[in-house]
Amino acid sequence: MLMLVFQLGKDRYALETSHVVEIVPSLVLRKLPHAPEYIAGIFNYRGTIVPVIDLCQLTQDRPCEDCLSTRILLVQVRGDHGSSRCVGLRAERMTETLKVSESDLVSPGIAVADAPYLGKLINDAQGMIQCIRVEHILPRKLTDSLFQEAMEQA
Amino acid sequence: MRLMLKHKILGMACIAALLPAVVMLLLARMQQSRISSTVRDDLNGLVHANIKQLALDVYHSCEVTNEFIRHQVGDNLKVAEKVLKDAGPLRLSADKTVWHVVDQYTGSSGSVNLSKMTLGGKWIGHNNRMSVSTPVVDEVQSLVGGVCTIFQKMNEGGDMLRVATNVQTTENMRAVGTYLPAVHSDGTPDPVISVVSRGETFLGRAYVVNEWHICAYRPILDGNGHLVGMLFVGIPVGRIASLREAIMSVKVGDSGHVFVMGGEDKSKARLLIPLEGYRDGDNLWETKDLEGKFFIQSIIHKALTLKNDGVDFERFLWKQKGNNAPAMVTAAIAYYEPWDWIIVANAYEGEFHEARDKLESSLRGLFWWSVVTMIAATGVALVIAFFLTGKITAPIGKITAVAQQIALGDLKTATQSVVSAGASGNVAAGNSGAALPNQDETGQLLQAIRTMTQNLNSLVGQVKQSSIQLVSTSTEIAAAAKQQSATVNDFGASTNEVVTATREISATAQELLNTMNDATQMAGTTASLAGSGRSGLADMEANMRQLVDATRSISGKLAVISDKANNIYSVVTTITKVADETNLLSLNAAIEAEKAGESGLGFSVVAREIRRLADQTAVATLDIEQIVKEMRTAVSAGVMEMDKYAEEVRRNVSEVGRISEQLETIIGQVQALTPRFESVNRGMHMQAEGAQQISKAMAGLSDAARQTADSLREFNKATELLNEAARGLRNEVSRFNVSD
Repeated sequence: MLMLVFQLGKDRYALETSHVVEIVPSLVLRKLPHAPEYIAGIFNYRGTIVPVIDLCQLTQDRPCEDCLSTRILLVQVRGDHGSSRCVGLRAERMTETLKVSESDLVSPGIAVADAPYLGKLINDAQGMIQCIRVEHILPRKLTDSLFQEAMEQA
Repeated sequence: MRLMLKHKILGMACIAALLPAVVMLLLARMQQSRISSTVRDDLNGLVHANIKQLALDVYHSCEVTNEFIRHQVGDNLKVAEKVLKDAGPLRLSADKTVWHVVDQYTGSSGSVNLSKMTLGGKWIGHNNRMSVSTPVVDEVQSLVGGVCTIFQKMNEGGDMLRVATNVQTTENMRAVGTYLPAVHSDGTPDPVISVVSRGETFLGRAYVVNEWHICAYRPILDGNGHLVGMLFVGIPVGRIASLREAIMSVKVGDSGHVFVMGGEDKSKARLLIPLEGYRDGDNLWETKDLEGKFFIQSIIHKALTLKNDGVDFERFLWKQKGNNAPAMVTAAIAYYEPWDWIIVANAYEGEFHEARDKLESSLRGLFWWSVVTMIAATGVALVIAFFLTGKITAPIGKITAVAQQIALGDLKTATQSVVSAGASGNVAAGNSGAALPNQDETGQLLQAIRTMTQNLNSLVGQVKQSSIQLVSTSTEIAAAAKQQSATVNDFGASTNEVVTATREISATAQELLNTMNDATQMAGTTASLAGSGRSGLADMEANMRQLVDATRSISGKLAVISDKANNIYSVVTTITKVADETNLLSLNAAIEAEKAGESGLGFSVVAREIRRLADQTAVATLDIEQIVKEMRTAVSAGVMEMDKYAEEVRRNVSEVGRISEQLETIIGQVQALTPRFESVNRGMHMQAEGAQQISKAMAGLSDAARQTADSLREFNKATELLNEAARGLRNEVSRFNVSD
């Protein structure tokens, strides 16, 4: 399977490309006042309003560096009622892909309660890459608010 | 022993209750005996008067009766004469009859032969039986009562024989045959016969057969005028029923009587009107009383010496009727001589003493009732006194306790006690304004004590506070005084220091004066040096201006280099963006290829290749970017350095100009200094003099400070004394425990 590799600070992370809709450059986002800091803003993706989560803010308590290699990864997130939404994830140094097989994935042997999105590990020549479980990447509150509208419509 | 108030009051009440009672008892006792003796005397007198009056009454009754009977006898005589006349002529017949005659006094008898006395020609006969009637005499008796007798002259001597009579002998027979002797055995002529012999009528008292009568005798004459007999009518004195009953019914006291006995001759001591237990005619001559006294003889003896209605008394002991107990009897004796009656009215003294005994017993009763009343009154008085004492002493006791508490100084407890004393019993007041239920003196006293306690309480409290304030104030004063003292000492020291300092100032001023002279000279030298400095500076200014121009040309060239570097940087940036977008494109392509599965494999290889090229481009551009950045930095630094340098040069030029001006100013000022130094010199002189004056003044001030310090020490001592006094006062007052 193909993994998209990116960095949050000095650590490298990977995300399975099957979840990815598209990678877009880090463009100017509309800020949401009083929103949590990890919500970088919203933007118009081909007629759809997409919220953007700053993963650096979420994991490192600092915003992503303003570089060309800092990009927005559009993923499809499923809600509890079967509905799904497109969410942007901003991360640093999103320039590489990596081809791995299932056997290359190693369990970390430790689970962090506050970070349920951390998945298995991949070893390569440059060190360890942590896989991200995209279905747990969003905080619960955010997930609820994202799917509230859908729920109301339902 | 110390008596409590309670006991005193109780004792007083007891004495008040007992004293009048005891006095009353004593008086009653004394009065009792006196009354008793007085009553005894009075009663005795009363008894005497009473029985005397009785005796006299009987005496006067006798007189009246005597008079009355005398009249009646006179009348009776007339009736008898009439009856005799009617019966027919009284004749002495020639026939003789033998009479057995008896002397009525001596009893000597004999027989005599006398002519028969006829009445109307009929012989009277010898009728001595009462059942057979005798003419004339019985008729008279039936007409007028009393007794009637016809006497016949027995002999020449004049003895008169009863031939017809209804006078009875002791044997209840007609007393015919008894005669009245003309001469008594003692030789005295019979008063009746002697009167009748003279042809007169006798009216008076006579002893007939065996008792005294009031009677009348009239001579009976024959045709020749010779005395042949006499007609007699009489009423026996002792049988005058009304008088007798009157006398016998008289009672003196309960059992006292009046009795009458004869006084002389045959009837001496013979009862005429009898006592109980005796009969008529009993001779009492030998009678003795219970002491063995012949009291009857004494009575008769006394009676016979009395005149008219005189009364004498006799006392004797006699047994009392009913119980036969010996009792004293008092008798009043009167003697009615016409009848030879000794009238004795006697009374048992004891009966009259009954009243006295009753009086005495009632007095005794009164006495004992007084005793009982006294005891009861004392008891009641004690109870009341006890109750009242409680009422009086309880508040006083409380007040005493309160007073002791006040004396001990425990005003707090005292106030509480006063309040509670008010609450219990009669004072139920938490506040002073509440009315007391008991407004007597103790209540008022309690009120006063309460007011006093409250006043004392507040007074002592105020004194306490005042003393505390006084102590603190005096302490403060002492502290202040000490502080002031220290201050004054400091002041003295300061003054000394000032003096010293002033002296130093004086010396320094002198030195300064010398220094000023030197300074004046130095100023002159400085002015000349400044002049030479100003010319050197003018040359330096010209050099500076050339340097400024050179710097400006270097700056322009550096700006050109900077512009070029910026151009290179923008090109590099464009290349970088392209490489970046290429990389992005290749990533998306790789993702899409992955999604396409097997069909996208070739495309993914292309995408990877593109990304590799893009990465190489990016690395190359990064190197260029680095070089350009360094160059730009270097140029910028050079420009900045040049700018700084140019600025420095400009500043130096203006600085040189300014220094030149300042030097000019300094020269002018130094030249102007010299006259000023002179004036300073004069001022210094004056300052030195002034300092000396200050020094003198300070010495004076120091003395004053010392004196002040002494005064303050004394003041300090006085304050300590005050403090001690205040503390003593507070100790005294603290003895009082004041309520809050």
